[in-house]
Amino acid sequence: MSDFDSQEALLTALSETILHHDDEKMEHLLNAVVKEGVSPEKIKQKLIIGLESAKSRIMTNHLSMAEFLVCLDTAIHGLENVALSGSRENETQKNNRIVIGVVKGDPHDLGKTIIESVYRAYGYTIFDMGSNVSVEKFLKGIEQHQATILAISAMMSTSTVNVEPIIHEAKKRFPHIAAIVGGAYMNEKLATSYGADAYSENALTVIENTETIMNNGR
Amino acid sequence: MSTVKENLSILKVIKPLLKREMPPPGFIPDSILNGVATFSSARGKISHLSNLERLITTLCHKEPDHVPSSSFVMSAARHLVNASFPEFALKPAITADILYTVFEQIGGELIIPLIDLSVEAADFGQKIIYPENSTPFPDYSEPLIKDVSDYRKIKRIDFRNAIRMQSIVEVCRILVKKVGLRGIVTGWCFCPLEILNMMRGAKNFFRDCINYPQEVKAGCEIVTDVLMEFVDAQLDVGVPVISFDTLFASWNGVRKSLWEELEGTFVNDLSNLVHKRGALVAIHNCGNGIYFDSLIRFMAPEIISYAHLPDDCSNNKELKNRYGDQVVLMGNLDTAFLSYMTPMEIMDECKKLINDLADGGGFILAPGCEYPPNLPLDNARAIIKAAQLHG
Repeated sequence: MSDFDSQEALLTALSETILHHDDEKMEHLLNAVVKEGVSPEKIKQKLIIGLESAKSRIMTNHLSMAEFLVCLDTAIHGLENVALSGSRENETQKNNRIVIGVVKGDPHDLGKTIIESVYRAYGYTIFDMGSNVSVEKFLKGIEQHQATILAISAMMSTSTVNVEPIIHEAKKRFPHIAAIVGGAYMNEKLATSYGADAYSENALTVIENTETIMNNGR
Repeated sequence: MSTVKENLSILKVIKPLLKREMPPPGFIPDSILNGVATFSSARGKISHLSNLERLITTLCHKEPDHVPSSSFVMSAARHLVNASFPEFALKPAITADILYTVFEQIGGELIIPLIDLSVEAADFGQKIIYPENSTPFPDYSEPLIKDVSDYRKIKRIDFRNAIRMQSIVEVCRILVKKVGLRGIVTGWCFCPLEILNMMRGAKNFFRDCINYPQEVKAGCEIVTDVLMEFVDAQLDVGVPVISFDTLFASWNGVRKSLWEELEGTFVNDLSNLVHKRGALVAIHNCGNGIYFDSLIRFMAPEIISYAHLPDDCSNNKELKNRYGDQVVLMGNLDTAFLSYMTPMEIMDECKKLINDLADGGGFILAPGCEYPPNLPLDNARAIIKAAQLHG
């Protein structure tokens, strides 16, 4: 802690490493906070604050999508390093098991990757089906991982229509499942018409949208 | 000396006109262009203008009889000539036929050969998938740029053997001849960052832009070298406008300062080439928070086609006030609307855009990006009708 006046200053510096996507400094500071005996929960809280800061900057056009992606990388790296992500699965997180994928006919997985990283950073348990995913593969994923949320991305106008049969079949076989969708050609009205429970415009709103579904008892 | 230059420029105008083709607007003396625009604007108040008069009036920032428009329909019209997606992408005679049919049957004043995002990348050696029911896309399981060191190893291809880029040139050649003076055929070129993105995959490419900018720039240099020939070849066949896709100059790409560092010099070279040959520069960018100011500084475009607002404007009226006298604005109907709105609703949305952007000229009504390829064309017709009725 020699470089810092207080434990709080050390934790703030740790938080800021996300915004500067500085993995090396993060590892160094993580070692320092662990030595200081800071609880894993407190560390997690600080990392999330760093992520929130990145999120608010992209919302106000102070951070590009490319930078947000590397900030997420650093956040995930930090969370994994302190064994917080996924390993401390509590009751709430068990209820938030998410199967995520890009629809059939669509190879664009950047949006899905970013959303997946955001979910992981916020402590959700994620099962990635990849891109160009068939209805059958989505259904198998939901069953196998006992998912409660189905997150679908469609980035092409030609593939957006493929969202509907996935939601239709998923809800038929797993009535408890809540579906959240997003993509370049998607919007709220279209998402609703496909039977989705929520539409998320981007990575910045996905946590709030997901929490809304969960709070609505889906 | 200047008289010799002027005479040469006039020859460059007269020669295409004799072939009934649109001459490079940059070689037409400003006094003549403005005279035509002023006269057309006045005449437009009492009678219909021709497509070309309407476009010239708009490009000179004067009000025509109604706003010009583009439905931005590309492969969505393949059914009109019973063609498939791969045929639209790979067979220039069919591509040209489809785009000409759109011009004839749907209308609009501009013909834009945006085939798909993989054209240039394919010629550099990226493996492309050509699905029967969708737009071609790179096979991201086999990216050409596998590692950051590969940017410097991109092969500087011989443009004469660049099959897909050559096919775009051929499409332009056919369309310029067929359309004549009834409209404007634009060329099309993706800018180097987008092409490298197609050869690397977005996830890794974004990271490389931030972590290895010098490597990315080295790749840009090689790609731009070939693009200069591509643009030159399109100008050779008579397109008076080249559209450049600059997606990375937006918050969907990289930070403004980084974009300027990575791509600024290269897009500057490309647009200088276009202007030097008397043609106009159009920019298409469907990202969020486009960097209008940087794009204008580096490319001096005459037209910007956009889907979302620039980073320094909060609505279309503000955009018009800030940039409307510097560039012709083209857009920005939400393409998602086209999926579920009725033609009447689309016309209402177009009317809102016209109300915000058409005052004083300098506006072309269009969707913010390509018309979705698997949709019926009713809403495309609605866009053109809205321009004629409300514009």
